[in-house]
Amino acid sequence: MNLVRPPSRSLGIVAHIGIWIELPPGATLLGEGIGQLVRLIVENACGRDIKCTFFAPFWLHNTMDRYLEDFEPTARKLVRVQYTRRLVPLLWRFSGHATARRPRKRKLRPTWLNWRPIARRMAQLFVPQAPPTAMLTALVALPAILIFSPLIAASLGFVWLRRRLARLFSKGRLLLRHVRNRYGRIAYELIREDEYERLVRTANRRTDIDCWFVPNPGWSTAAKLRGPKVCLFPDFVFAEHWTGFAAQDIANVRERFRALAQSNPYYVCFSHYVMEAHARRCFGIPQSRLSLIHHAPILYEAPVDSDARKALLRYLAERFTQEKAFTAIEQNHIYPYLRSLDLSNLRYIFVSTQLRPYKNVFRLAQAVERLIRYHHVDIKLVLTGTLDFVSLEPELAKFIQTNALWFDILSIPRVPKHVHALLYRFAAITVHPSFFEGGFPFVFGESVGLGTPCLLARNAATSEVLSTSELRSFTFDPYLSPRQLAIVLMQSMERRESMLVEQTAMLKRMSVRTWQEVTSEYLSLFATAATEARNPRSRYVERYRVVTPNKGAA
Amino acid sequence: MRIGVFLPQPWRGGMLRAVQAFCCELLRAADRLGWDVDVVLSVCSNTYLRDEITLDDPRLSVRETEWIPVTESEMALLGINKWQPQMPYIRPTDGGRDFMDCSLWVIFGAYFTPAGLLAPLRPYYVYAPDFIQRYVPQIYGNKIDANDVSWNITTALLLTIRGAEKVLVTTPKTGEDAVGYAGAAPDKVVLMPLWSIELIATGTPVPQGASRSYALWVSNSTPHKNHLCAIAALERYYEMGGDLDTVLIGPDTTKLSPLWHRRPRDIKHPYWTRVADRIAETRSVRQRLKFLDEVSDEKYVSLVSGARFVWHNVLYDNGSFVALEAARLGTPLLSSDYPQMRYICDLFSIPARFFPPVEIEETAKALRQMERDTGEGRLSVSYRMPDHWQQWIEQSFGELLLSHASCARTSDNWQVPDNNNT
Repeated sequence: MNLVRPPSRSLGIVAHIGIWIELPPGATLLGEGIGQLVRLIVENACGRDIKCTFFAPFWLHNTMDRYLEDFEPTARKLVRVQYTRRLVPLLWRFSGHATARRPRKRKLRPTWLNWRPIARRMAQLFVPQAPPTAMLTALVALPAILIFSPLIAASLGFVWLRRRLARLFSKGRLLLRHVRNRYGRIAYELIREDEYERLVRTANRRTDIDCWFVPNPGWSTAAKLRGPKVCLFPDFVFAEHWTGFAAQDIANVRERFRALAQSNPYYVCFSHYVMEAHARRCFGIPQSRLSLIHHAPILYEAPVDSDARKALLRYLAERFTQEKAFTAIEQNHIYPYLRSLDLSNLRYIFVSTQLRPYKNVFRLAQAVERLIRYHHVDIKLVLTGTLDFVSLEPELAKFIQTNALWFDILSIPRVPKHVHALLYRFAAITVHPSFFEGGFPFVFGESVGLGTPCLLARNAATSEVLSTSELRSFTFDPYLSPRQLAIVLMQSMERRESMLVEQTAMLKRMSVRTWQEVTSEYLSLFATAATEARNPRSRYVERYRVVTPNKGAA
Repeated sequence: MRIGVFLPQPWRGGMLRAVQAFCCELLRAADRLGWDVDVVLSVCSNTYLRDEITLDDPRLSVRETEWIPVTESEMALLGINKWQPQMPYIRPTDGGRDFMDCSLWVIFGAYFTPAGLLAPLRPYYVYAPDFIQRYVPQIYGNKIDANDVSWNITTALLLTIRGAEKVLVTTPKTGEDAVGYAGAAPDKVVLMPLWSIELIATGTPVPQGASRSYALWVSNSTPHKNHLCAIAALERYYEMGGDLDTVLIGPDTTKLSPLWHRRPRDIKHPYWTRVADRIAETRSVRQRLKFLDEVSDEKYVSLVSGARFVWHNVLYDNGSFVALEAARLGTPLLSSDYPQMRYICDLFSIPARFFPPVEIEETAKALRQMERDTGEGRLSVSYRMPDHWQQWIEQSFGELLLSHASCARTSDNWQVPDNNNT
């Protein structure tokens, strides 16, 4: 069947982009590098009257709303989110991923039902040592008891029955919890597959989408989308750094990458190194399907200092009053401490990254501990990664707990854009200690643009962008021991001002490239993909071929 | 005007001396300003003997105090709209007016038991002695447990400091910690002079030709005094051919001795046992280390005067006056290197030597070097009181009173009670 295309959908023009989101429950794009990149592209695309629609599963309802709050108001008008049209399945609660219900308040039992003290008092009346007045009272009470005995018996029976039932329900709840622990995962997998099937069907029915944008090469369900696809390929980090991850997880991710690659999308890499070493060598993606689009620096608007301080104070107070604490350490120490903390008065190192094994934050934390306790430097470490004090994973949470560093190493995760900017603004220095990055880190532009110098770890992405002298001045070897790293940090903080002057000049040079240009390059790639899909004769012949790691490396 | 000065824990020694000196200075400052001020000193119930509090001024009264939780309704009743349900609030009670007759509260080391945040019923100043727990968390036990009540008390301390009108510190580094660790606003932190320094009498001079055959180690039995590293360093020092005995003095230091641990005791702190075991297994240290525990003032003077040098080995604290005392008695000082001790030595121009406290080899070398240099008489000992020292103290306390008065005028919640009414 030939579809009648609207006039705007001529060759080379993209009017509507569909953005495929495939995240598990609880995950969010907010605070993620990819999330930022997608936001910037979408905002700039919307500035050219291009519509953007996110396609997301129903469990991301809240997180997507929070993510979209960060968008420019003008862009928000052109952005839609499409969920599947259905009710949340009943099985979802059983799967254990639904929001936990608040514990019900236990009702206070009325005192007259508390029969134990009454019985005790009555028994006291009948003991032989009781005084004569008590005996008299007993003589009056006895007929009353005899008269009301059926009522008393009934109420006692009621109490007994209630307890039996409560015990039974409690056993039932335990059984349900046990079953949920065992089979909840299966239920979740069933719902997940069903949900994505539905989402794909919904997406494929949308004839107005010109091109699909898939921000993660591991979101393999996107392979089922019928339209042309452009997919980001930030990196395949396991090719560089596989320790610290479960082998099965790596295998699964690899399979998902391959599954999507088989649908022959266009890929965008952020660095030449990743394009060659990961996309081509590990996955055998043909050169014609790969594009290299460098980022532009992200520049936040500098906030006014007095407003900024108040805004940050207000945010921390609200956030850590409302946030649910899962452990005693959060409840008793960390949240009360953060609620009224004025970060603008403090000297802190800011690290804006998720806590993954290759991000090397643990070593930085060890160095900060040494700075405080050995060199007696008054400094804090503020992270945006999530610390899990329940499972004590990653090991950083355990390190903080066993070394009583919960007032000096603070985590403020999932922050909106304006708070993120404020955290940069008040930092003494920003450090990005990662062993590996797929592209030049956003943190550099974000931090230096707000007047805070940035110290980067030396890796493929930074080496590709910085000159030799810049590498010497602004980067450090991520394999330095905590002892050496502490000294590097101290020296960097001492020469903060000169470092900032140099980096500001460098940022000015880098800012020649704008996000408008970056978006143009993306849009032109979307247009190429859309054109190819509409014109079968131009369809590319070089297809993806499966490459095993060894052969690929060779 | 009535000012309440609180000592919320049953501290003795330096803290008790400091609080009494503070009350005296406050009254003197009031005299100079010509203000009618009286001071109420709050101490824990059933803690101090009558003669332990030596102040004898009719304007100073002592009240025994307990700390009790405050409910939200009580706060509402008192008309204070500052309820932040982040930690339980507590307040002092003396069985009478509960210190509401004071226009200002000054809290010495706001470690409250039960753990709680000080209810802002009156404007209050906090004197922060130090924040050792930031640098030596083992001070609350070798195994760090966030659920330990000491950590709850610490959290309450930090939040109480944050709510204070002024945070009084005696060293710049503690001031930095008050901002960086407790989160106090920098403009609220006041650097005070070391008001509680007592210049000890120099006593009888050391006779010429005295052997000076020992190093005097001044310490106590808490973990921040770095005993384990110190013993390892001593062991290394004796291996290097060190020839001086070491005399350890200070409260409870006998409890670190292996001999003390041989007998069954009711309380044996795990830390003491570790240190005693370490000493017991080190032959040279066992033989050359003498334990004298807490000594009288006269004995202290004679021990310091007769020592080859004084060894101050601490991981972190607010500094020690031992530097000044040793300098006054003509004995050189070897001290661990931390900002507070540097500050005190700089302030009084004491030519002390420093070593990194956790580096055992460095410490041993420093001991050996000190032994050589003092033996050859190459070390000069001197000190100099800072210029206008007394004026600085007077000025600081005067400003404290003045700032309180201005605060009292601007505050909406309360008024400075007239003395006649109270």
